[in-house]
Amino acid sequence: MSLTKKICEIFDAPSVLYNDEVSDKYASDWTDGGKYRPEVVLRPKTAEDVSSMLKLCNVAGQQIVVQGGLTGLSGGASPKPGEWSLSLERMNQIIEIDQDALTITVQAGTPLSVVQRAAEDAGLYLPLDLGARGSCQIGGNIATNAGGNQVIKYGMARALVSGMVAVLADGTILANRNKLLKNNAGYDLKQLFIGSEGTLGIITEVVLRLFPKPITKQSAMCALESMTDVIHLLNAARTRLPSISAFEVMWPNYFDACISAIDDARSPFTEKYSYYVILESEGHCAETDFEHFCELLADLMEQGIVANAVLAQSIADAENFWKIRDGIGELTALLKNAAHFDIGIPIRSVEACVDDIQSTLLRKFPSVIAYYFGHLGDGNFHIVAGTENEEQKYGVYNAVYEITGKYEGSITAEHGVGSDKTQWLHHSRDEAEIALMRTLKATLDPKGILNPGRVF
Amino acid sequence: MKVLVPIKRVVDFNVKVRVKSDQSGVDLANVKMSMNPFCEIAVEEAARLKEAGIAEEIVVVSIGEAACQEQLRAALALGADRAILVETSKEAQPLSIAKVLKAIVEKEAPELVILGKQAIDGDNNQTGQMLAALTGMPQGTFASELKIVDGKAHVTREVDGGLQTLALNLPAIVTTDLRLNVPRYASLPNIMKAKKKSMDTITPAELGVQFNATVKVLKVESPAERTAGIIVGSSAELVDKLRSEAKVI
Ligand SMILES: Cc1cc2nc3c(=O)[nH]c(=O)nc-3n(C[C@H](O)[C@H](O)[C@H](O)COP(=O)(O)OP(=O)(O)OC[C@H]3O[C@@H](n4cnc5c(N)ncnc54)[C@H](O)[C@@H]3O)c2cc1C
Repeated sequence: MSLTKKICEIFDAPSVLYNDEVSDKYASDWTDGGKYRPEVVLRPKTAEDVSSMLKLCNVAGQQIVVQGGLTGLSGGASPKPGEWSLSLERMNQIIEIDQDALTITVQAGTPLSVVQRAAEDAGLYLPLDLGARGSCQIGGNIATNAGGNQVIKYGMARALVSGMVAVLADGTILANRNKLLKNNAGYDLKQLFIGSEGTLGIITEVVLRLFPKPITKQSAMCALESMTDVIHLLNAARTRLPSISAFEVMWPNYFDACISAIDDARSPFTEKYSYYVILESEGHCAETDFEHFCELLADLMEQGIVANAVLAQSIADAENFWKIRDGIGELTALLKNAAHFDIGIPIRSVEACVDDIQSTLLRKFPSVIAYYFGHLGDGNFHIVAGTENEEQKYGVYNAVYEITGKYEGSITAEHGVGSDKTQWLHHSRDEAEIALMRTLKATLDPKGILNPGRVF
Repeated sequence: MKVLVPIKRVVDFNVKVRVKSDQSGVDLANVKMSMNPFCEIAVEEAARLKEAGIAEEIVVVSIGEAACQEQLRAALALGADRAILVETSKEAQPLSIAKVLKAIVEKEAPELVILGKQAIDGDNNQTGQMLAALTGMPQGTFASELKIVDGKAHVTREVDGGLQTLALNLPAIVTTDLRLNVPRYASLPNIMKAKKKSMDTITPAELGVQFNATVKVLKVESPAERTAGIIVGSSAELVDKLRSEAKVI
């Protein structure tokens, strides 16, 4: 009996989409890669479903691409020819909120925004947040170890995972719904599945850490004249504020392009500066937090480190600052053949590295328009470069990743290697490391049925 | 000329409020408070009049708890020269506020009072009009443009089907609509300067005003939850659903 037939016999109709029932949405993630519509989409409802589906596929050697919310930016969830999709879209139940342990337990296919709202309704706070919140799934966030806007305070997705249920390629269910802050009884196996982009197992359920919601939030848009000053501001803010929740830097060509391209983005300044920073801090004291925030910035302005700054007096003001930072979506739409980077660079090398990239691009590809911005507090910044054609785009990727390697940076700080960046992994990881990755893969998925060709 | 700008501390426009379980009002614990957006527009308009050399002094006044100082400081940072807090812990309803403002107007003798057309908490849209009635000053409400020409305030108002321009003798009352201007951000230097500007505190009693609640809130309820929408597969299905389920065609 064919595998398709067997699976159709065991599972009900909504659990298996076949041929014409498979819509185009399963053909790729957010990138516009291959667009292979898979022949079959498996849509389990429980970890047990996932287990028996994988068991059958593993025996038959049927390769699977794991699909979350399909907002990934590195082609990881885009099917390759011959792969079936396993989508977690129907595994979207909130299972439990534990007010004492401060945890929430959810199925992996729950959209991030739904988890955020459930936490908020319980008077708590899930600090993971990124632009794709309405579509991306918590399982996808964890499989890619997503970052987002508040990493500087709360860490990457990894830091928020307390327990996990994952299913291996052969159908083995590993269930550890740990809620303990301290648990050193053996290897912490959940770490294997965080950031391994679905290559080692399928995450089906997670226990996440929640926090009390901060009461106050201060936001400022600061203008500065040098990278040394930007780093000084970062260090001063880290020492003197109760907690920085965002530190976003924009280079001037990015800032100016956003202001002129986007209707409702307006510059808070009449003059132009060399760097712009959105600084945000959260706290628990309505009386003093804003005062401390002002004092810090006033001191730095007096010392000539901050050239100018405006402070949000309302949430709308803060949202207007973020409109400039988030304008990249609209700006990208105006570029042709855009190359996207999310590279990580040690903070003290950022200026030299960006100078190097800028001058290299100018020398090799003078027509390329590149914008620079990012989560500098995390040593992570983005470059979006519009190129003339595919060949030039490839050249830009090669050049930038080589420079990244030179500065001991990461070719991907947030979005993951996926299918798109495997050939450049060696700029960030050495041979011994990649060999161990292969050994792990061969141990957990000997037939190589889960997300083949991703990561390395 | 002297411009008086009354401002109100309200729940920030972007906060999703929750109704208290006893339905007596909305929960204000740990909620972000800001200046009413229409009041921000009023402050901005006054600041522009000052920058244009028309206004000499901008006085802001707020009526409420001591915490209103936060919004008064914000207004000082946006360009006001001095602030008055009329401190009371009693619920401030439009008529009481208008009576307090009348007393302030008598004391300060401004030639122009610019108010928000309404506050986004109660959505009353009454204070400016009541103040006009109490003081006998002419009023130009829902202003989308304000010009001071030959000792008169020319107020362009957004009315049904078009625009209407009034010329008001000074002193006059103007209430602001959304399109009057886009308020500036508070710059750090101006926030620091604002700390040194004067802020007086008085009580309604000192102004000879009795604070009486004339309106009693019986019950506050959340709007009914809307059911989620659906995505239809084809225009034929849409027409069918409009006919058989929504019954609108
Ligand atoms: C507008 C926008 C903004 C973004 N901003 C950020 C940002 O600030 N920071 C950041 O880090 N990323 C960001 N991203 C990219 C980010 O990686 C994804 O949005 C998100 O984390 C992926 O979730 P997803 O459910 O869409 O995963 P998918 O795209 O479906 O999958 C991503 C990878 O994870 C695997 N996978 C998915 N679910 C599972 C599972 N349950 N078990 C095992 N493997 C699984 C897939 O096979 C694939 O390899 C952004 C994307 C967009 C479109």
